[in-house]
Amino acid sequence: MVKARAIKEILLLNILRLSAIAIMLSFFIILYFLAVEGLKVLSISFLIERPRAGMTEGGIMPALLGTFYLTLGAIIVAFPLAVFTAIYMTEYAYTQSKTMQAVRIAVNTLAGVPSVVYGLFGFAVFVKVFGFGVSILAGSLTIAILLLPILIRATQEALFAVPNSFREASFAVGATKWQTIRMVVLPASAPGILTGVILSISRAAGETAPIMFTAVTFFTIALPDSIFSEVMALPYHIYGLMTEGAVPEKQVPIAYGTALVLVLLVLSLSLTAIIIRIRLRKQKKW
Amino acid sequence: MVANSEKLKAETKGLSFYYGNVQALKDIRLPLTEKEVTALIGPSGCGKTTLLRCFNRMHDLYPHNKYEGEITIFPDNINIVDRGIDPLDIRMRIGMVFQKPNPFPKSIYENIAFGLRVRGVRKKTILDEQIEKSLTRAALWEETKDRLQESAFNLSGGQQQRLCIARALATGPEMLLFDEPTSALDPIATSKIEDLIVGLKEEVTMLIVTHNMQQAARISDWTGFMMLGELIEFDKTDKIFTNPAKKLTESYITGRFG
Ligand SMILES: Nc1ncnc2c1ncn2[C@@H]1O[C@H](COP(=O)(O)OP(=O)(O)O)[C@@H](O)[C@H]1O
Ligand SMILES: [Mg+2]
Repeated sequence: MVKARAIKEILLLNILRLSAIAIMLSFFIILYFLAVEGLKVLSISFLIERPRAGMTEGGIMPALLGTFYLTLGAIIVAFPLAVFTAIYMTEYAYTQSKTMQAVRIAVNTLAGVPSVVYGLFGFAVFVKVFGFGVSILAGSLTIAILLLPILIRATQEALFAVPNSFREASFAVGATKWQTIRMVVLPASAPGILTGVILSISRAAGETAPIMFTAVTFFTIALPDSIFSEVMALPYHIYGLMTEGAVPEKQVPIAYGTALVLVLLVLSLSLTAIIIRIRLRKQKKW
Repeated sequence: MVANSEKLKAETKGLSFYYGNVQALKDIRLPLTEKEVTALIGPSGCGKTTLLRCFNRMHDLYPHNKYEGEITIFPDNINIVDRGIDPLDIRMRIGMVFQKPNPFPKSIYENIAFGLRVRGVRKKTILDEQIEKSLTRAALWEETKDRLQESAFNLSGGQQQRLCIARALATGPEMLLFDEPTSALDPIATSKIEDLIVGLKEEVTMLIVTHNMQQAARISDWTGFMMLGELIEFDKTDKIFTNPAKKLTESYITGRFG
């Protein structure tokens, strides 16, 4: 009897341990695989050159630039909107009210909508109705909408983590609500909000579906010259290389190289977020 | 016997308070004598904190709270809990020190500058001067004058609480509210805070909630004994602790319950 229980314990422990190891392994296998294939083409010139010879030679600079513009645009639009919404939801609105419950359900549902649906929405609204065409603007707005629920939740969590005693202390010396938020709550939650922003940047950079119909083209000679230009983008570039064109033996290695660049980008952003979080935990004494 | 000869700073009349449907204060009549210390004692959950937080309209921060009756503040005869009165105006005049020291996650300097900054004070010379003055009054200047830019969290618990007192003093309040300000502190830190409170009598009217009857006896001039949301007895501190009029008060101070 005692023995059976002990064996169960050991068994369970090992199952848990194996799951954790499996996760680690799959992470490193993906990275290794990408590195082996991708390093064959990766070089400085791969990063700063334009594609040549019908996508079979050259670099990925236009796609890198396009992803940069799209991500930047999306964050510029989504960040203030998300922060304002989160501040309103956590600091101003009475959280038990029916309206607020509806808003919360809306945010949670939006977070679960498949990204291709955002792509369709962006195409119908930004490309067609607003007449932005397939452009950086339409793509950024579409990604921004996709990011909103993620950013709102991250910001709300950061705001919730600020102890109420700080707010009360601020009100007690005569601060207004906005002064309290601006001078106490936001500074205390800034690292948490920043972490959310960084993680959503990597999400924005990696998404294909939302920009597929709204912003990107597989191949363009011209670099974007305005927010109404169409662009190349890293994730879509991979997709294009693998599905179009006639010289797969030359295109597939470039796709791996592009994937490696994208993953390294996302990884370094996540790492930054982790470092910020560790710093924050060290400072935080409340 | 209720203070009449002395000057009143504030007085509650028929004050009731509700958390939603739950009545936490019943018909409280409590006078606060100017530049003296009034203590509130009573068993846990009797409504001491609730009463204290009426004085700076802290309850307004949360929904469904309701005041009835009045708290008049003198000399201007304003009813603090009147709906038409902006709680901000009240908090500009009445400061508060909380049960757990709650400095902001900012420097010592910025903690005290805070109340001045929200009032629009920008000039560094004025801020510097007020900060030195407030820290001195809170008996913290000597310990902190060389480390004003350090985080307030580097201070000990007792120092943090004195910092919170300095923060409340910096804006020149007419009245200070203390909610068990020493309950999280050791005896030495406690006695420093008590000395401080006694010294502040020269300038401000104080209302202090305390769990500790000896503390009430040591530092207060007037004491109110509360139970189940009611003010059972209010009198000179000496009288309450030597010869209370009510049986309930006597049982409480002799430790028969609470
Ligand atoms: N936010 C609140 N909502 C509902 N009831 C509360 C709240 N705060 C306190 N109470 C209740 O009000 C009564 C008085 O509480 P309180 O003023 O904190 O007592 P004390 O400070 O004397 O220990 C208690 O019964 C308590 O449970
Ligand atoms: Mg209390």
